[in-house]
Amino acid sequence: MIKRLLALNGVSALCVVLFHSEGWGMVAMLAWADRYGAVPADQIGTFTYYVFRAIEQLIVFCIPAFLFVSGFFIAFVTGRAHKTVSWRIVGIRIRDLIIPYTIWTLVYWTLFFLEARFMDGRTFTPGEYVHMFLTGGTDPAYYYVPMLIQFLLLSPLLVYWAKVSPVSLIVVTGILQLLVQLQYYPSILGLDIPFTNFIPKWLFMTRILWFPLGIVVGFHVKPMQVWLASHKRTFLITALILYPLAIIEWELIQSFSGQIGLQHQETFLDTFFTLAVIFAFLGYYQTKLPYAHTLDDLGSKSFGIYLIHTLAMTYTARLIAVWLPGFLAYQLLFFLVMFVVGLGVPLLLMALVNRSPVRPFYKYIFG
Amino acid sequence: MNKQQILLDYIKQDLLKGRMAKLTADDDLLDSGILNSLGILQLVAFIDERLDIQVPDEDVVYENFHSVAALVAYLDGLA
Repeated sequence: MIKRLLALNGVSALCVVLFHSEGWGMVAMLAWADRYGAVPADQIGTFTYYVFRAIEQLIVFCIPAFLFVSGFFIAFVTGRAHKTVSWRIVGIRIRDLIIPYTIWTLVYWTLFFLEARFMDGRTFTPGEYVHMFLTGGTDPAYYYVPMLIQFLLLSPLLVYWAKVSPVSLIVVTGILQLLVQLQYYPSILGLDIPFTNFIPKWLFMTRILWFPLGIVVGFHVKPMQVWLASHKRTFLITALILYPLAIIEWELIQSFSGQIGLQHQETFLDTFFTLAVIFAFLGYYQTKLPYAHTLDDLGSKSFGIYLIHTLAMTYTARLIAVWLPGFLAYQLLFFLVMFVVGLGVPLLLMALVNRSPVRPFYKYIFG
Repeated sequence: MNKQQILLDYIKQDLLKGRMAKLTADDDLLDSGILNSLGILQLVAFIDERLDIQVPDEDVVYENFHSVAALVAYLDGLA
């Protein structure tokens, strides 16, 4: 089962790239429709739209999966003898995240500066730069890093709790997870209710269940392995049932809210779908995965892929929008181009560094 | 080549990318941050593929993986 965690990271890395490729497809379909003379509302309900929605729903487990694997590792490095994880290990883990995060954030900021200087791009105040760094605001995907760092800072408490009372930890974080998602519903339904939708994406509360769940599973590997294997069919069937239901749920929400192209928020069904997917994936640990070696390889490169893929996609998309706007009308092809760029550019950069004199610095650049 | 050398070479070349050429079998891999979560998972997969030893999940624990020496002692005990 443990070997499956690397493949889970690999699948999640692929899914993150798929998700953002689909996101760009939606941008081409809706926000950029005017660039090729289309009307956004006409694009809703088309075959391409539902392909994108299907992808959007399928990959909803990927960030929780990353957090789950990170939590599992914290349990691993704590060991059996210690009451909780040491601050030394927490510090090292944060260091290993912050260095590559900072490097790629600086790459972005350099591009922002160049755009401001030569292309009427937006300028940012020092305060805005600090805010971007602390909240992952430099790139839409970067919120994950501050979130994970928060979980690592909380890990001495979470690990202690997981050792003393794992069931209560899961129950409490599970309830909190659902409550956090509950507060999103009014805004996604278009209802103006105060004190809702106020929790920012980068705050650990938005994904509070998954890291602690990984810790608990990490401390109970053998019984979890038996339990997951014995219920694997149930988890798989649950995932297959919840998948279309979650798509329908979101379409109903969107229809009720009257908003076109509503940005996806995780709902209750998404939480249960994610649980089912992760548990099914681990439960079937004895079933050989297709392309297992490739998935493991992607898993080992997941953080680097995560940090670089949106950068590559963003600038490719913008170049296409300016130089080849007619191509945006073919959103499925555009989506494929985004996917190839999003996965290919990070892997190419990693391969180049791996063969270069800066190879010893690989970890600091890509994690 | 014995297990210890095989594992040291793999960690130094593939996981550390030549960053710690002087890594020894007694160096702490985990407390010092030499290996992270993904590195441990890759090491388990490598042991399975290259040494043809399947490490049971319940044995993938800090105590067996905190150094190459500890890992070799564990793997020898498995055999």
